[in-house]
Amino acid sequence: MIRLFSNSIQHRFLAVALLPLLLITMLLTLYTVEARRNDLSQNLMRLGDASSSYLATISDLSLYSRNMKLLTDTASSAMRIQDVAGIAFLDRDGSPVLSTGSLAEQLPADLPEQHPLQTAHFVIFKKPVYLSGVDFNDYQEELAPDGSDQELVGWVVLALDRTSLMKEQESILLTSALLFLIGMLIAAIFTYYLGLALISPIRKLTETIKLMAAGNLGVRAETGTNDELGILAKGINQLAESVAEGRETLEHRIRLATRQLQETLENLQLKNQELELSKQAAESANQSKSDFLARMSHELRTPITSIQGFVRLLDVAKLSESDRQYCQIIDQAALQLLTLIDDILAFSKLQSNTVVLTQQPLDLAECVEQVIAMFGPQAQHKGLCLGVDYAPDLLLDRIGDSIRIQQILSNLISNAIKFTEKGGVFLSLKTNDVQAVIIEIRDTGIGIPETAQDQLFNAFAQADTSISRRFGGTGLGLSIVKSLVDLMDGDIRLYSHEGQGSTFVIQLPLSMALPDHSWRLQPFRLVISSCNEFIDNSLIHAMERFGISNPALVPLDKIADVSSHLSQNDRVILCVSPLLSPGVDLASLILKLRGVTPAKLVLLSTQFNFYQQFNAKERAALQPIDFLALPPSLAELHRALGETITHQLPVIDDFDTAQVLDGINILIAEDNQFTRLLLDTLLGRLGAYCTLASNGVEALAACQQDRFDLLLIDVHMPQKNGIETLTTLRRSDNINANIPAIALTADILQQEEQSLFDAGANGLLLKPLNENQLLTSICELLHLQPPSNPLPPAEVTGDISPDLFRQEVNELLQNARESLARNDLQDLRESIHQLLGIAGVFQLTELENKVRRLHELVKRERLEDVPDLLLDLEQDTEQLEF
Amino acid sequence: MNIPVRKRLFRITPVIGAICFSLLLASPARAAVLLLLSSDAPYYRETAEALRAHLSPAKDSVELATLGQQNLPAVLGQPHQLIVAIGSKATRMALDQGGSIPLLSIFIPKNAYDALQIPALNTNQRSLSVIYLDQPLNRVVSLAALLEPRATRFGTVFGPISRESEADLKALTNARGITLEQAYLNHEDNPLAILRPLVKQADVFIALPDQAILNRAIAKWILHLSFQQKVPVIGFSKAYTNAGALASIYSAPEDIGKQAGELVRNWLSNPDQRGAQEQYPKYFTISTNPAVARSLNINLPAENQLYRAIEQQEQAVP
Repeated sequence: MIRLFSNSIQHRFLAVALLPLLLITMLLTLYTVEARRNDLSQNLMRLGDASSSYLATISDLSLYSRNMKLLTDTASSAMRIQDVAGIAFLDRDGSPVLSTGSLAEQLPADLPEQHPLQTAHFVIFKKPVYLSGVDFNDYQEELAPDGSDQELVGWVVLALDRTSLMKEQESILLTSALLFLIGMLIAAIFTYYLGLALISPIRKLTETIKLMAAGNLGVRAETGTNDELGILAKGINQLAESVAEGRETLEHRIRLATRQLQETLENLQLKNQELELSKQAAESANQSKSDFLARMSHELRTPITSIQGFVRLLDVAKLSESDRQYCQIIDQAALQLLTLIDDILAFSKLQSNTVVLTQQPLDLAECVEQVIAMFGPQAQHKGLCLGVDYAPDLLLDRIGDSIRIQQILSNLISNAIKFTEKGGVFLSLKTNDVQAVIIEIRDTGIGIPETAQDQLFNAFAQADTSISRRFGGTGLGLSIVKSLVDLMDGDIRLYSHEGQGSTFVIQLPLSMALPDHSWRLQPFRLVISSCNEFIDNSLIHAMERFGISNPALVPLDKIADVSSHLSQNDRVILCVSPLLSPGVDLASLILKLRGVTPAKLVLLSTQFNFYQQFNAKERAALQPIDFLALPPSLAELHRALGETITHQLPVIDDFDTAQVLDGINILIAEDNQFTRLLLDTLLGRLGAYCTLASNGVEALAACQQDRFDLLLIDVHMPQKNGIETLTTLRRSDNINANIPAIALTADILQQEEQSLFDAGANGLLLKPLNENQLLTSICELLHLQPPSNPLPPAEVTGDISPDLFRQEVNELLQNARESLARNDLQDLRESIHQLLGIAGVFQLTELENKVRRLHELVKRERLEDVPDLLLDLEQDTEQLEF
Repeated sequence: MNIPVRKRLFRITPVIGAICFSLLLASPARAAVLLLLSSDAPYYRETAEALRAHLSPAKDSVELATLGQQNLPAVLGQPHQLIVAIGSKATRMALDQGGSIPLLSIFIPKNAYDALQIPALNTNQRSLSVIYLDQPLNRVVSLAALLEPRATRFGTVFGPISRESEADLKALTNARGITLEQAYLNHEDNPLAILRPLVKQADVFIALPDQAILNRAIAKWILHLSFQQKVPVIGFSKAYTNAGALASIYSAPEDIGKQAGELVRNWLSNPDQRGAQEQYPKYFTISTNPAVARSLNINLPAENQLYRAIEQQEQAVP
């Protein structure tokens, strides 16, 4: 039915015409059949009722008198009535007197009198038979007989056969159904042909419209009649004509427009080509700029390194005081220049989007504390207090790029220290949800005017141009910070008022890593005295992290009294900084304190050599005691509080900056003998014992034989380079598998740097090496206190003869030439890499510059100029003067 | 004389109007006669009207009352000169009411009047008279003899009540040289078994009223069996004639009313002639069924001829 409606107008017409007809005819047929069936049933019932009543009336006498002949005659005559199947006469008690027909075979018991009994084949009527009489009395009231005038003499039972009724009903049903079907068939045929006659013109019109829709606008509809369809056909023809005209006009316009468009496209293509050329030029220029920047930074670093080197070569002892000051100024100026160049390089990398973040598990505390340790001496020098506070609920094990986080913190802390003359710089680390870490760096410095705050994160912008003059700096620091924070999908905000200090708030999304240890400590009583609210709070938070509840905060003058109640299982944390407690004799106070309490003392001081104030006897008396830097490393504090004994006290009587690495066993893996010599000399002077290896294989062999505290490893080495060696070592079960390792290289690619750290390097230093930087890195990794003063200049080159140097250089140049002839770029790179290292060692600027050019050419695989440059280098080496 | 009812009504309408008028005039004064009807049945009314028609409208004031009306006790309590009770129920009511006002009971079967057991009621101080509804048996025998002069055997069936008349009837038939074939029918009897041989023996069958046994069925069977045996039936009511009896003799309401009216008028005019009287109906009516007569091949005289013949026979006999 639904398909009928959805197909075509003819089907719909058929459906619309036939459905009501079908419905009405069906209803009428049903009604007629039912009415006729009812009539037949009622007729049968009436016949039965009338016949039985009649029999009851006429059989009273014969039944009363048991006149069987009369009863038989009566029954026989009644049996001749159509559909009468049986008759029975019953006496007054219901016992049969006479039964005929079907009732003779079976007479149902308990027949109802009120209504007929209907069985499957019969309808059975039962009527009472009363004696009938005549009216004989004129005066009823006077002569009426006593008692009932109507006497029951028996019953008459009549059975009617329903078979013929049912047959007749079936016949009616069949006839009606047949008539209905014939009627419907005729109606359907009639409707079909009527619909066909009506729809045929519509179909023709539809076909015409389809042809028109297909684009044949020349076709026309037949307009023979004047009825609605004729008018419609005329209208369609007119419409087709209009459309044809319109289309022709439109096509003409489109042709015009297409031609114009083609011209425009051709112009656009030309422009695009020009743009492509411009883009290539711009990219080339950008690349050139990057190259230039990289080269320039190198070119700048080289003379500065020379300046520093030569200044350090001066024999300080032989100089006058003013000359020493000049030397110091020159060294500081060179250092500033280096910092500036590092900033520019970092900024350049960030601008060219070549910085890729690593995602490594990191300890936030360690990450922050390394930076704090770096700036500790500087802050102390300026008389500033440095503080770090970790919120107790902050989870410290995170995943992120610790180098870049440290870069951010370095810049901000450096700025804070730079612009703060009095007070301190305070770091607070907290979290606002599980993933984000909020680092707040607050200083008590000069503050930033509100008008300058908007531009502060822009490159080369400083709050005041006078600041550059007063404090120096490139103005790139905050821009680098902002770029790095953005790179980490973080956020940085500044809150500052002029003269009231500044607060930088950084929010970094650092996902959590699995914690590798618990901070909980066995409970003990604790007394804290710091004289600084921030440090108080940071210590309380640290204690909360350690599970130490309710530490007692007391002022310095009360600490002896309060601590006198403590036992040897308890602890006292005392900040002993002249900055915080000016004018207090801290040494006496500590000695007094030890006199009243057996509790372990943990002393925090900004002076890392605070313990030098006590002689050996006093230090022995002070035990158990620990000296920690202020601010303390969280791990150190945890350790110091966790132990009830003295951890380690430096041998202060022999203390010397030069012996800072005393007893440290270092493995140096460096293929270049000059660099090896330089490192061996330098570290040996600082008290370290060095084992030398010229490649990775040797280094691994050495690891099998001895236990080392540190590994210094060159990245580019023959046989087994630094990355491979580190990978092998870290994966082995060697006793040195987990020792700290610092990689050394003259230059490194971004992906190379990543693989180096992936291989297990803990630090990276660029050649030419900066001794102080090297020492700082070593101290950090070995948790040693770095020397507060810069190292004296090393005189390593004095141990190497110029001839030996020339021989080495010539050998390397020869190797390079042979590698070039073989077109073995790998070997060529190795030779040039070693050349670069040697040049740095001897601070030979001209030579180093040429080697760097050579290095760049090989790196870019522009080999055509390489032979000339090699020759040039050879000549330079011959002419070299030491 | 069988006068059609409508014609009779037409005739008595002015009389009823006059009665009503006189009642209206006399209502404030005491009425002389109280007509007490057993019910509102037409035959009681017609009897009352016939009675009133034979009184003097100017002198004899009449008050009409029916059993069941609301103020009946008050009406009965008034000092009438005479109470005429029409029907058995009115008679019993008047007797139950007691008092000394003379009572005339009319339109009452003799066995019903006897059943009132008047002597036991101790009505010595009260004058009681009656006009029965039943016809004297000689009148019935006369009619039978007039209709079937050649008949030698009369048949009849007695019930518990009519059995009292057996001796009288036998005497009357015997006096005419006719044998009376009789049978007795009780409640437990099969009427057909008793009637069928009786009818066969009779030339004429006389049906006697008997409230105890005679019902519509027995009446029908009498007719049915008589027809089968070609025996004419003499009945006792117009209804029985219509049902199939050849003829019936009975007193119509006008007949009883007339007789009672004459009696009352006489009594009112001559109070000293008042005395207890028991009378059978003086006037009567005969109805015939010509169709039955044709079926029985009987030459049926006209009803008035028969009336006159019986009247003459009664006048001839002292």
